[in-house]
Amino acid sequence: MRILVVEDFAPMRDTLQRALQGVGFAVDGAGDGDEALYHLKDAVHDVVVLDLMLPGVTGLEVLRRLRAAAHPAHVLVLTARDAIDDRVQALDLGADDYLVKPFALAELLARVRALVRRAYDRKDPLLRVADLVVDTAGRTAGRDGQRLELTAREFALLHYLALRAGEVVSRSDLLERLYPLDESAISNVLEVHVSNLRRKLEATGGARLLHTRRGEGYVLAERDGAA
Amino acid sequence: MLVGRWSLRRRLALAAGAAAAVVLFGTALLVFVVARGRMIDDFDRTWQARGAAVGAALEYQDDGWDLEERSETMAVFALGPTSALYQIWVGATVVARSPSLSGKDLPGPPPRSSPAPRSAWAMLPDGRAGRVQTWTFVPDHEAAAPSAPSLPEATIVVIAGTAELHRAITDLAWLLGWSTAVGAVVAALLMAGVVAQALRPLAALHEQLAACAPGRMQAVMVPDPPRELVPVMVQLNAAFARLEAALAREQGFTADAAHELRTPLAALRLLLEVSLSEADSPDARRQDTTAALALALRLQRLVEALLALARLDRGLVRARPEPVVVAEVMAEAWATVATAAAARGITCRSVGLSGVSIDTDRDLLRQILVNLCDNAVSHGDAHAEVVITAATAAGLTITIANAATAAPTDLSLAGQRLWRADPARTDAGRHVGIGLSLCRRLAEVIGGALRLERAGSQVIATVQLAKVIRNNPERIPAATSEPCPEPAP
Repeated sequence: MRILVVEDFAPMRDTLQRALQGVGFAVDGAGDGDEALYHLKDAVHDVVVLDLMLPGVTGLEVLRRLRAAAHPAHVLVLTARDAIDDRVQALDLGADDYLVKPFALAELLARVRALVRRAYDRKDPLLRVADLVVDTAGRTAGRDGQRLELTAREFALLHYLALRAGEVVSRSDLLERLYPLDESAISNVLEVHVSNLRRKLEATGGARLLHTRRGEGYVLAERDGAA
Repeated sequence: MLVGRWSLRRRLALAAGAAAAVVLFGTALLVFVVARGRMIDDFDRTWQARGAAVGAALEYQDDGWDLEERSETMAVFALGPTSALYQIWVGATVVARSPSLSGKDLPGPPPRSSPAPRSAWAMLPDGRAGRVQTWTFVPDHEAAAPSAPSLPEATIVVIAGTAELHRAITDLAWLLGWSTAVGAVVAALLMAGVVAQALRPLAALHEQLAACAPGRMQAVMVPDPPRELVPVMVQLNAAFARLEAALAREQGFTADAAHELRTPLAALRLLLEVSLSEADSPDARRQDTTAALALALRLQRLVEALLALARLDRGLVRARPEPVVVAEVMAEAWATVATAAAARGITCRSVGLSGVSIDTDRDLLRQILVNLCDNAVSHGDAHAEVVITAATAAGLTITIANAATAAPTDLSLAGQRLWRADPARTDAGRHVGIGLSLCRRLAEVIGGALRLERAGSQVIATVQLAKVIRNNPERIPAATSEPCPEPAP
């Protein structure tokens, strides 16, 4: 899942990016409204963490333009402005959530996860595919009762595929949603992670869940429909 | 909350009603006194006329005194339960009396009297109240021949009961009393109505004021206001406008202060949380600690600036004037930014500072100049020149001018608390938007003023001070340094 952090205060932006990357999200940063709109034109971000007081184009204006363009991203407003009027205005303009600074990191991450679930029309934080259970809140995965030891990137890959279980997810989609721009340029980084994830998923002796559709992408399902 | 026990309407209605009642009762009392006097006078005159008629009927005949009884006159003094009587003396001798006395004389000698009737309150022989009329007259002589001897004066006393008079007076009192009471009630009701009508503009004003609240202070406007209310409304509306503006400024300041404090605080907390959960190498921890320290220093600067401003606002900062060499203080101020200026290729030139001294607080002036130099170096164009000028035409005017093409065109709000040229307040560095505000207040403390303006690409900060030391070389300390080189003459 790709997240855009729009924050003009550089120390805040950098730490937010670091925190979100630390739990496996692909994160981009923008220091002002114009840069945010530039990032969002490709519509690859699932969640936008948006500050309101931005130089140039304000956060509210960014929100207004996103909604006017029917952009699918879910927006979490993260601001120092705590007045009821500010909250109401932002929510009425199309914000999905509102969090006032300072905040607890755990709460921010929980809210981002909730928005990710909403983006994929899921309510249960436990995602199930056959005997595989992905706990999106606890960031753990297990198969047939046995816990899988996954790296942050492998968990992010499994998380995304589980959100879209049964669908064929293209390679480019995975690269756009899960990898920073610098990493996505490395041609086989995705294949390496898919290979490692598949190996760990099958280490318990269970049936194959992560299938490759040649020329199309990958699908996480109990049975590969194309087989 | 201050609550009056009585409304203005009630007070005015009661006061007007009471005044009307006093006037009505006073008038009624006056009418009563005058009418009572007239009634008593009429009563007296009636009985004096009757007594005169009796006196006119008294004649002296050869065999003595004789009273010719005239029925229409004598009937009122008739025998029986009457309330009128008379008695006539000639000398000390009773010569006639009314039948109502039943042959008995009035006690005592004849009262001393005169031809002019005298009236007084008296008592009838049976104890009832009455009025007595007394006067003297000369009786007629039956044979009024020229040879007839002159007759002595007679004294007549007429006493009449006043029961009917008292009834009439009592009736008059009741009539006046009741009519006055009813009149007072009616007047009070009328006054209440009139007062309510007259106070309608005030009631409308009250309703509008009651609807006012912080953030909802609309101008009050009473239709067709009385002349006395117009200045009140004008003053109220002006006060509301000032209050709204102050409230907006205060809210803006609070919001900006919240933003200023919350953003670095949030960044600090987030950094520490992330560092605790992630940083596992000494290098990473050191890096996080350095970043956290920078954020803490920023917060410290902001809090200190806010506290300094609060101290200034509370009047806790006092100026301690002393002779100050301006060039020396300017040199100290420029020295604090010289490194930063050199890094940005900014140079300094001073004009007219040599030999200028002033009576002021050295530390406060230095704080002002440090802030202004810092702003010039931080926000001015790189590789530009900062020109510092001193002029002593009217007090002391110090200007610090530099090119700052990125500065806003309108600097009228510069100097308000937490004002920043960038509305997003993005600057993550040392500037927190209180420096100019502090300078402005500090300038006021030392009896001066600070002005910031834009002239083309130049931003000019002007500090206007008074009390330049002139013509007193002994009081002018020698300058030990120059801020920056003066141009060659």
